Amino acid sequence: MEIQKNGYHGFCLPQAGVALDGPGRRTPDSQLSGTDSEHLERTSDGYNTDHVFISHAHADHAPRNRNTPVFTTPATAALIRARGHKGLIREIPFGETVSLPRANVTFYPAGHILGSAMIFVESEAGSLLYSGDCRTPPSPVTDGFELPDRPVDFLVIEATFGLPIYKWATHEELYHRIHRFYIDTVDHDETPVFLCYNLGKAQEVMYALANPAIEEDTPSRDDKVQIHHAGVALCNVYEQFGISLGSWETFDPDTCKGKPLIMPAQAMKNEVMQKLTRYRTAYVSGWATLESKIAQMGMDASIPLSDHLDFFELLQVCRSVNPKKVLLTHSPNPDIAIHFLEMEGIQASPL
Amino acid sequence: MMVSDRKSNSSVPAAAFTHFSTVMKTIHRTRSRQQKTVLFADYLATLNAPMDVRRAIRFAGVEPSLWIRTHYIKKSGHAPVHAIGKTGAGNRTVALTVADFCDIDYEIVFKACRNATGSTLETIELLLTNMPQAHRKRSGNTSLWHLSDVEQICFQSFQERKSTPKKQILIDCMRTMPPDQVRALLHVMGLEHARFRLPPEILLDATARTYNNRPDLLHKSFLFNGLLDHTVALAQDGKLNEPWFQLLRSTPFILTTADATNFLSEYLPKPAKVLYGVILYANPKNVPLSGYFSEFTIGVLADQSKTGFETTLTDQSETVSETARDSNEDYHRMEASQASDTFRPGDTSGKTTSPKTFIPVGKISSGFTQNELERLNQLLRERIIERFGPVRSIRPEIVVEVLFDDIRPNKRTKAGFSLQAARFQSLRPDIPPSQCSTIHELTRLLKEKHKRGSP
Repeated sequence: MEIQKNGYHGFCLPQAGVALDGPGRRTPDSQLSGTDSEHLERTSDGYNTDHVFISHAHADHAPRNRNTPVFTTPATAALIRARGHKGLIREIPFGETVSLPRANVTFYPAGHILGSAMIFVESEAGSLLYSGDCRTPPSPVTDGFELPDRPVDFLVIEATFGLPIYKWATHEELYHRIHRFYIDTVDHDETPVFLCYNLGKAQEVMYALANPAIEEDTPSRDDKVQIHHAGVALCNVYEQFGISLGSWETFDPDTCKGKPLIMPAQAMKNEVMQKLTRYRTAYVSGWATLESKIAQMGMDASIPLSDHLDFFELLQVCRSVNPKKVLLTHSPNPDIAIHFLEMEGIQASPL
Repeated sequence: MMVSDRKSNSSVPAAAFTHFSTVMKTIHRTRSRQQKTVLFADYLATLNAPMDVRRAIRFAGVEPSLWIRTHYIKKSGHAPVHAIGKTGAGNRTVALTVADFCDIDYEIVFKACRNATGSTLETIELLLTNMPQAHRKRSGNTSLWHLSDVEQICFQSFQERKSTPKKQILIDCMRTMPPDQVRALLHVMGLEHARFRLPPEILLDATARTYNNRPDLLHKSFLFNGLLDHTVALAQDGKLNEPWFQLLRSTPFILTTADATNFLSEYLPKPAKVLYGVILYANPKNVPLSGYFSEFTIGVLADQSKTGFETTLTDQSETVSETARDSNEDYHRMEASQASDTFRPGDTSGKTTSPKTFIPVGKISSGFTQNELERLNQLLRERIIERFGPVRSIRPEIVVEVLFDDIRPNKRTKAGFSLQAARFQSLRPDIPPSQCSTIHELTRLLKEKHKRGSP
């Protein structure tokens, strides 16, 4: 099966006429021959393009051209609309197959963020499962994680944390740490600030605060969480799809004291946040595993909560899928995962 | 503020190494110096035995080769036959041993992990924690190590001259210690010690807090005797006010103000001179550098010039170790960095100064030919003292000539100014470091520029 990478923005399967997490190839009529155009989509400006499937709504996977017609899950559709996507969106629920002239495509839940999907493409050239960004065991604020029950020839899987130094604690343990940080900070008359991405991680932190794994001797509080304004519309989508995020409101510098705040890291530098006094920051990310990252960011606490596979989960997914070949993406050093996979007899290479 | 560890086991003795390891980790994640002091003081307060307090302070703040050598002398009555060397196995040997213990390939896997973390010991802790193979080799019930056990391990490892027995000691520890304690042990044994070690100021302040002493008395005592361990012992025994400089310290010079010379004169052999706030005296045997520690507790300088003094400052560490080998006196060498902590030539105030004698004034990334760059790299590699991830600490011996276009005020820098378009001109092996331009000269340049009114 031919796979064409599109720089750092997704890749195409030319034989299937499908593009995943990136723009489709744009080909003028003059460069096509015979029935080549039949399996492609026609754009409004007269080009022939691949059918574009988007795994999830994070900016590095969603289309940069907001007018691009795409296929997504319903939740992803709502999220990218909330972030300004204007093009045609064809919403395909999990498990439902889209039949194209040269391929059948099915979404499977990926466990990364709400609406995130693994994309399964079946064509005459073979079958390919693209993980997008995924996590198993999945975050409770997602649609779960499920692998296709059909054979997979090629597994394209993200290896963001593809080193054995990354092994995540359980969600319960990490949610407890989130809650503990909140309680301890407020008990010392300071404002807890959780620094994390607006989409996915922010909602997971809100869920953790609303649903703490409380032990008997742990005090509880029910302060309203305040979230950065860029995350408000996204939180509304989560609640629209049935995910309870507890009691929350938009960040208000006049009333935020003592309430748990959820901000992207760069928001700490703006002049409103600069006026905040007596606060403690917690960096919430898989990268919080690294002490150098914590020292660099100057955080008071680190909570290594991730919505990506850790190294050992990555290997396990590869074993479970058992493809003919694994292609690793989104990794600065795929050699290590390749080394371990090949020791187990699984052929692998970087994409 | 310290976030309490809900899983702390109150039935574990206070002198357990796990508590030391945990508090050091917490301290290193704390940004406030005052909080670090309080955390360490609170920890010291839990230790009942005075010896455990001193162990904890040694582990947290003293190069292992220093306290182990003293320990060796005390136990055996003489200095060790072999030179001061590594307490444990070297960085690479440790990494290879851990890679083997975790059943991973050192070249492919360990190195990649270390590149990601920037720290060998952080990598070791993570791999020992995560790798199933390491779990299996670790016994089901890890032993409870006490501070005294760790001290014994360090001493035992120090006595082994070859790397194989040192490796075996490490393997035995990995079988019975949780990964975070293995890491702390390796720090205590000297690996990445600069990252781990707490500065004397924090340790002394913590001790003062623990024993309700005046911090300035502890600092003064440390200044004179140069031994953290001994200073703490004095604090524990309530003897900080007693004359202290006569005791264990061998030092090429002693810092004092001019009016303290009367107080000290009855202890000093004659003649004694004060130079730049430093008491020096002539060695009756006319040896240019200190070499008679069995006879004198204060080092000597026959050459009373500033150059001679600075030469001693840079050279004395080697002479101290050389000459003290046969000495029966209990002593510690004073590292050049410690000496420069207490004295800056030309400073007549008698006060301690900032420990840093080098202040950044600019960056150079051009001007080299390829040959010059390769030569510079070679010189730098030969002078590496410590490594901090991608950064290297080197002995300040290389002199280079730098061209720059301008010098401008810059409040964001420590110097208060920065050189514009600084570029490498040439290596200057003909000029000793003592004759380099100083920050005072650059400051004067800036002032002159302002007077001229140049842009």
